[in-house]
Amino acid sequence: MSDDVLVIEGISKRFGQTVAVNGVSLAIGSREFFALLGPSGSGKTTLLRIIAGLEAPDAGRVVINGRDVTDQPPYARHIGMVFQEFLLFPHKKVFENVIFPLRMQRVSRAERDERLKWAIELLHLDGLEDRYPHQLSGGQQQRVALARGLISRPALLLLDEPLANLDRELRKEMEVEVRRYQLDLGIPFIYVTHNQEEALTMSDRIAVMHQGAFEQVAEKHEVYTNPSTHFVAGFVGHSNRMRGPITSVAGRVGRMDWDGVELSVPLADGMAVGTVIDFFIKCEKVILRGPLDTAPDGPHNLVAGRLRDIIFKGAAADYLVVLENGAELTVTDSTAGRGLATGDRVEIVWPLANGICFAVDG
Amino acid sequence: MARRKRLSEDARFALMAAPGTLFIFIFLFLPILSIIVFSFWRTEVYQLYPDWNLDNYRVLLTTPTYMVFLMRSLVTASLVSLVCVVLGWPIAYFIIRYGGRYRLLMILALAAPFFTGIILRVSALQGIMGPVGAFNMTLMTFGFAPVKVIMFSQVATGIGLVYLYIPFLVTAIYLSLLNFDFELLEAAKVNGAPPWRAFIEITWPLNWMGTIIGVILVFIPSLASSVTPIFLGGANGALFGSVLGRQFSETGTLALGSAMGVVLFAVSGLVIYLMWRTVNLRRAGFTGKDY
Amino acid sequence: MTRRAFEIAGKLTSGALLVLLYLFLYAPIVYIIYASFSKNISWPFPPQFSLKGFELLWIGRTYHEALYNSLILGIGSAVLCTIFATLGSIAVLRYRSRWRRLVVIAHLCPLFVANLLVGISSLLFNRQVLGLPGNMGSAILANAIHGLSFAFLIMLAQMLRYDWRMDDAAMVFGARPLRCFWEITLPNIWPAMLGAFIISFILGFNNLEISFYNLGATQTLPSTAWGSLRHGLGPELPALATLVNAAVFLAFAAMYLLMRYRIFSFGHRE
Repeated sequence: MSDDVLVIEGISKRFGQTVAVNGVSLAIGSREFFALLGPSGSGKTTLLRIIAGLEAPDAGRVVINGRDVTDQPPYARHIGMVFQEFLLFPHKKVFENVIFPLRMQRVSRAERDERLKWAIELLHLDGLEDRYPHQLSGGQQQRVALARGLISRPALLLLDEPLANLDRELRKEMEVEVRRYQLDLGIPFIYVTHNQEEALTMSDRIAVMHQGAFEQVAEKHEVYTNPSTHFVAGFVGHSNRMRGPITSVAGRVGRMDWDGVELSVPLADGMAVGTVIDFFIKCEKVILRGPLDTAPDGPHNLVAGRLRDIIFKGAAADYLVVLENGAELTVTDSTAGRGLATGDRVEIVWPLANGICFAVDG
Repeated sequence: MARRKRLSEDARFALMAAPGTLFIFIFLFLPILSIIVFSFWRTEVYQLYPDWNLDNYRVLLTTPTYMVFLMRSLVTASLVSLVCVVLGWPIAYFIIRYGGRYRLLMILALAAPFFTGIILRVSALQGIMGPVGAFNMTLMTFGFAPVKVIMFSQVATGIGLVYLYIPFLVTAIYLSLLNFDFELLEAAKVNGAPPWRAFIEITWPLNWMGTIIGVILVFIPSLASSVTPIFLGGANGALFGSVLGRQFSETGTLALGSAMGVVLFAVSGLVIYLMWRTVNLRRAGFTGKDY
Repeated sequence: MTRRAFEIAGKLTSGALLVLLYLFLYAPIVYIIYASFSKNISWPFPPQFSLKGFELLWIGRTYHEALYNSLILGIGSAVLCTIFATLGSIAVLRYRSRWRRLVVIAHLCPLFVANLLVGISSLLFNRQVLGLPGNMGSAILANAIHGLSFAFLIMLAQMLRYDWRMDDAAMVFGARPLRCFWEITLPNIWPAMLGAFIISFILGFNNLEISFYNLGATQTLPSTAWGSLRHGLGPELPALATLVNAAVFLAFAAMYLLMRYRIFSFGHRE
């Protein structure tokens, strides 16, 4: 697409014997907040560094705004970057840190001062301009890092787990703030994180990365509700996983044996009797039925068990249920008016259409 | 795959590392090589002539004086190294273990005298140890006879060499112990090892390399010492290094001097190699593992 | 002996050894400084004050020349040492390469070659092969070899603590390599470079065995001192010793205080 800001094609990188990035391709448009989500070791930081030009790929191309920059060093790519450890220059004051990119680009003094004012205001850094990084709190340092990244109006901004070093409260606040900056500035953000809640909160599109490759690249709701691979189903969201062989098939629906419990599950193509599958269903998609609750309607699965523990989280809670076959399921539900206590006999139900199956390989 | 317009990491490394490495190659490695070459040449009227021959080596090996000097130097250097290790180890250990905030100060105080230069140090030492030095003058003032052995003798040279180079050894062991995790000894203690055992099994294996480096830093200059024996060793105190020096400053026998230099270099290398192997093997023997 | 008694005995012995070592190292220095202010330098008791030695140093032309030569020598070799050591330590720690170990070993080689050998081999090599007669240039180069290892160790210690990711950040924001060095790296490592410079200067300034063979007739401060030692002890020698010792200790004290109060680190890690 012609309005793509970033296009990467077939990027591969290995370090010695380890393959960090394995032939990935991607296109990111101009107003996208794009998240690279994956566990540590998935290659997401390496990919980000390749886009930045801090690492050279073994194969593939990086194209920014139509220009092939694969051979270009980072200082020729006109990008911005925000690092997890902030990486502010300790020997420079806050304002010197912030205007650094402009000085490198030889922007005129007048323009520099104007943009500095803009950045300071945007990031609420008023009054801190003459301080040194070590005199700032973590949150303030992060805002300086953001200001530095944004001030040069780069073609795109790369963020490498920028909120990981902040405490929880601050992180929640910053998630909203960072999203706002992206919307205001209209440039694409590429946000690397291992924290799926962050990715789901802030982004438009997510690429789930695992062992150097993209498992799924889609709009965030899609990734959440329709995971396309086994890994994504297990990694994104909190799901119950039930494993067992398929016992019978009837079109797109089949039955599986889960440790003695029989379940009806929606099947994908190519699943035959005997295939061992993992059935994933999100914890909030299963319904907890107490002794006083009415029966559900429509075709459903039902398993019975005993409530082992309730993990209270404020508005919602995780209900841990031990079943007769010994396995445990988690139900996420509201706490209002449940009237349940540990030890109660309960039932877990869910409509037949919910959940997704993936074959277990290896 | 796209063309590489940027310098690869290897190229950048080479660019930065080349100046120093080339410098060492041209001004250290090549000169050593050249004296090996020159040792096979002939000197005439202070000039070298590429008249390939083994005369120089013949002279060195057959004239007993040279070999005597070499032996004397070897013995002196070995003893000096031994004394330095025996004295230096507990001192370095003490500084690290009990020095606390003053560790840096203590080691700097030890290192500083080294930098004042060999002549000033030797003359200062002579001021104390010499025939009219403080030590003997004090003795004489109180009616005692001067101690002969510490002036113009091998012992004096030995003391002088210890004086000059022990800071090197202590610093080397200090740096090694600096990175040593003393809590390992706690673990050994808990597992039943008495202090001497803990030293052999834990402390020594992890610090032998630093010790050897320190010993080498003492041994090499001691073996080659030319100035010290002249002033402290007395008339019969000349060592190999002093004789070597004379080939260049007085007699102008450049080829012979080169041969002596080669012998010195070779002997140093041999001793270092032997030290390395012996200690390495011994350690491997104790713990049964081959590091 | 009980374990505890053993420990205490050990601690006392090594402590005593340390004190003895300090006495051993400093007694001659203190003595010669004392002697330099005395009339009778050989046996300055009873104490009589005199500044004769210093006077002779002050007016003696040979000493002025020697001082000048030593300064040139020191500065020349210090400049070379600092540059090579900085480049080498950055190369070894910034970039991945299988030649790293070799480069480190190369820079440390001079420690294992005796001064005497460096002196004579550089004399012959420079004269015969490079056509460089024994002169200041040759001496500076040879002294730089000796000092390089010390400078390298200092710079290596500093660069180990340098956060290279700052360079990454600078590059991303548009700084070309040279600019990055000037803006980011240099401001953070210059104290170590200064320390390396001071140390290699002192080494070159006070060196005898390397400089002597390369300079021949040209006098340096150490070689005039040597001459003075050989031909009879005059009062200038103790005076010179006092001055040089004072300078070295001042330099070390300054560096220590700066390190102690964390103004600069010169690479040391506590």
